[in-house]
Amino acid sequence: MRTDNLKNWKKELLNCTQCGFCKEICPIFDNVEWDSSAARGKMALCYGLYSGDIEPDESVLERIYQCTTCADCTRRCPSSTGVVEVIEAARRDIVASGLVGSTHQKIADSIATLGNPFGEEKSRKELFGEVPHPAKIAYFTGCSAAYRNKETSTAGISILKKLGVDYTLLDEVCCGSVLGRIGFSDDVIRKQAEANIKAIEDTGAEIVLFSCAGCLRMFRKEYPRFKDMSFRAMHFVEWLNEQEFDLKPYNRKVTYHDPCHIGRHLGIYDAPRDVINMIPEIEFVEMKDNRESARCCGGGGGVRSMFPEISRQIAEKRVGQAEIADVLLTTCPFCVNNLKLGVSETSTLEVRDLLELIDELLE
Amino acid sequence: MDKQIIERLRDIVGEGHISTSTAELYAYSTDAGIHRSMPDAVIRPKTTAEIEKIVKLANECLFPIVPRGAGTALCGHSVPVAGGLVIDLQRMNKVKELHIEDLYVVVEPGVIHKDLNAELKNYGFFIPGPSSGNVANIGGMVATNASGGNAVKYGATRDYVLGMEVVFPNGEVARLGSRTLKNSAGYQLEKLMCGMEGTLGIITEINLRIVPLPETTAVAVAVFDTLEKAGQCVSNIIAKPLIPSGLELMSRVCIQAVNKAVCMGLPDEEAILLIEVDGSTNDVKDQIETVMEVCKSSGALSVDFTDDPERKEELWKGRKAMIPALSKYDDDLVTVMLADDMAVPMSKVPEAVKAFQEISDKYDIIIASYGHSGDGNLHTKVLMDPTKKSHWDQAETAVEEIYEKVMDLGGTITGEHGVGMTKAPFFLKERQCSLNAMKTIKMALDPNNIMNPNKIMDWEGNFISHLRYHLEEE
Ligand SMILES: Cc1cc2nc3c(=O)[nH]c(=O)nc-3n(C[C@H](O)[C@H](O)[C@H](O)COP(=O)(O)OP(=O)(O)OC[C@H]3O[C@@H](n4cnc5c(N)ncnc54)[C@H](O)[C@@H]3O)c2cc1C
Ligand code: SF4
Ligand code: SF4
Repeated sequence: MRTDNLKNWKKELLNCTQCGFCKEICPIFDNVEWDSSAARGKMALCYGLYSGDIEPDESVLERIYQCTTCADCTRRCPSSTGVVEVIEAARRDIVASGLVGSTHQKIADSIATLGNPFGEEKSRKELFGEVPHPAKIAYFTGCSAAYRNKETSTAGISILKKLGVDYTLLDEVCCGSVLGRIGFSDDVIRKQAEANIKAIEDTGAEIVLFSCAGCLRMFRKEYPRFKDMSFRAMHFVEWLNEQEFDLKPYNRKVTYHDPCHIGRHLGIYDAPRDVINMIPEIEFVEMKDNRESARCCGGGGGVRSMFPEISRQIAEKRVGQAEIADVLLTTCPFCVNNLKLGVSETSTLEVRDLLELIDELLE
Repeated sequence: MDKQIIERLRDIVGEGHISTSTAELYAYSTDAGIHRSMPDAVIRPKTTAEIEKIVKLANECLFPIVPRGAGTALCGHSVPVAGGLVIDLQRMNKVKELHIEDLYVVVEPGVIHKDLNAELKNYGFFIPGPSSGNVANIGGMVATNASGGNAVKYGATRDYVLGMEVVFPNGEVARLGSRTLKNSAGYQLEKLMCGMEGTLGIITEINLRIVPLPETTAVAVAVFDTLEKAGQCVSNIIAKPLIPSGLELMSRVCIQAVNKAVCMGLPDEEAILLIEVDGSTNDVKDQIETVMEVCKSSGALSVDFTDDPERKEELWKGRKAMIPALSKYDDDLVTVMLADDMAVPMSKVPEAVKAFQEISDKYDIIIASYGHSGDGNLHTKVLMDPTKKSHWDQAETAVEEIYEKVMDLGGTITGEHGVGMTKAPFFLKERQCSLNAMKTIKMALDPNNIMNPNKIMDWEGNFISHLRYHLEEE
């Protein structure tokens, strides 16, 4: 197997002392229980691939792809080991060696031909019926809120209209987050970055709003590797937190799930809570694990497409923590979807994107 | 291990609880130490009856078996150096009985220390344990006689073991010890199991004594311009007499590492002492006053204390930041588990730390020393590039000299973590006089030598063996 990418992470591979402290929090280990499934086990397997000790057989590939990239291990790790970086490097080597799984190849093919991972034929323009135009503020809906959780993008657009903002939608394609998470190379991701940056720059937008944690993370953390950007990438809630508006009262108990990709990956913790606390009469409670130590929803890193049952069971545990409230709010359509799968038939818990609630309460 | 044996093992535990996959064999080939050796299979039993059958089969077919808890031991303890079957006990994770009024609990070996304490907290009790307690299992703690920074006051795991159920290496299930706080009924075999590192049996149930949680704690931080003064201060505190619940020493290399990596702004001096006391509110107040006085009269440059939970967290932050800081000390070096937990008589701590520093300078290898100086237990972190042979050569000589010094000072090569593989060559020197007795016990209980073989007193050769790191060209 090729190890060009893993070789760049030698220091981190050795930095992992195999102490096992990450067993306490790795959501996959919590579910699978075999030691190879914890961050420590995956670091060991990555070292095995790097050193040539082991071959990437089915059992090894399965484990390397059982990581949601939640980065909770790095938070817990006494040596702050960059586990996600190493696992993603291993995945890039796996894909470069032609060992990509068929589910993931399908996703990549769909993005290459249709601009979205879902095999959807309609472009954003056709879907929303809005033509991009010059405007200071652009809304990058992302694939999930466009094709799967349309209620989120509808809410985002409605909020902008209610606040009288001259906004534009974009001729966007998939941000490439899923490609990066499952191991496609920078060459593939660069294409997505360049297309999206051009689509934004064509509108002259100064601020681009995101409702998807994964998309925002790409723009903030990965796109700068490919190209300078002349605009500011903000999560919708960060932007809302800077606006003035009135909201109707909401008389229910809510809690908030920090999506890993804007929480641990980008450090956005206060903005969503500040926005929730703007709502009159709302009762906000924190789940046991919150902010930096929030549990993962189980959906990320390609786990949901390849191991749906593991994904669902992780969601179930996270939702279990949220049962202290009537409504579980979050700020990522991907998390909304996965968390919904974790709600049991007998539960009355509602899972919603914060944008939808704000839209509902906005005068 | 041939296919027939695997099938018989599968029959015992059922589908899904035995694996021979590359991923599992590789993941279970190491622990948190420096060694690697591949097992032939990994099994995850749920009951004593299953373990009894597995052990009987191992005797019949003569394959090695290695019990394993969380796999956090640091010296290759659960590395299957002779191959065979790793027995992962993490599925046996029930707290079976709580007898708060009788001061004991009964647990399965795979219970995580943190989980047990979470349950005991509801009743105002706890059992002390290692700093790895968020993941380490009770079975592993017993088998290594683990202990933590508060051992000076609370002792080690051994002091909490009242009795246990064990499957001996011949497959016989035995009950050792009792459920009572006192017991003078003959050989204390339950204590023999403490620190046996999986070589004398598989512990399947443990009766543990519990102690009340202290009402409150307070922490003092004292800065010294020489290690000797810090060391003398520790002795002066203990001699008062005052037994703190924690006494941590940070030497200059550690202080500098923390400052360099995380800009903590710790005073750039020779030594910092963190002293924790616990008890009732009044007790803690009196104790901390005494501690402050003693620190001052022992020549501390500054002393500070707090009982505010947030400030306490802040003060411990420097200590907690140390290990990540060390891993960021140099781009080409990482921390490697060598000579990690020796213990010396308390008054010898400064001398030991100084000697380790000289050895570190002599061999041009970074050795950061810190420790629970209240019980004479010192930790060192060796920073090296484990892919370079030259670094291993230097480390080997340095480690040898460190252990010689420790033995000269009347200490032991391991105060907490145990022997396993890495410390075995030095253990053989330290315990020359009792090796025969140990081997005799091992032979009597395990005539076929199937339980975690070739470890502790049965180790042969150098510790730089079965390394989990690949050496690369320099
Ligand atoms: C970062 C770090 C910090 C640590 N800090 C401390 C500390 O402060 N103090 C300390 O004492 N140790 C410490 N340790 C070492 C280690 O965590 C402890 O020894 C711990 O008790 C091991 O528990 P485990 O469940 O991981 O055991 P394992 O590593 O799985 O096993 C340890 C040994 O016990 C045997 N064993 C396990 N379960 C059984 C059983 N049921 N029956 C028979 N044999 C069994 C195994 O064969 C092996 O020989 C630390 C380790 C790490 C990585
Ligand atoms: S990123 Fe999350 S899922 Fe992946 S290894 Fe770390 S803790 Fe486990
Ligand atoms: S990733 Fe960090 S926490 Fe996990 S085993 Fe490695 S060093 Fe320990």
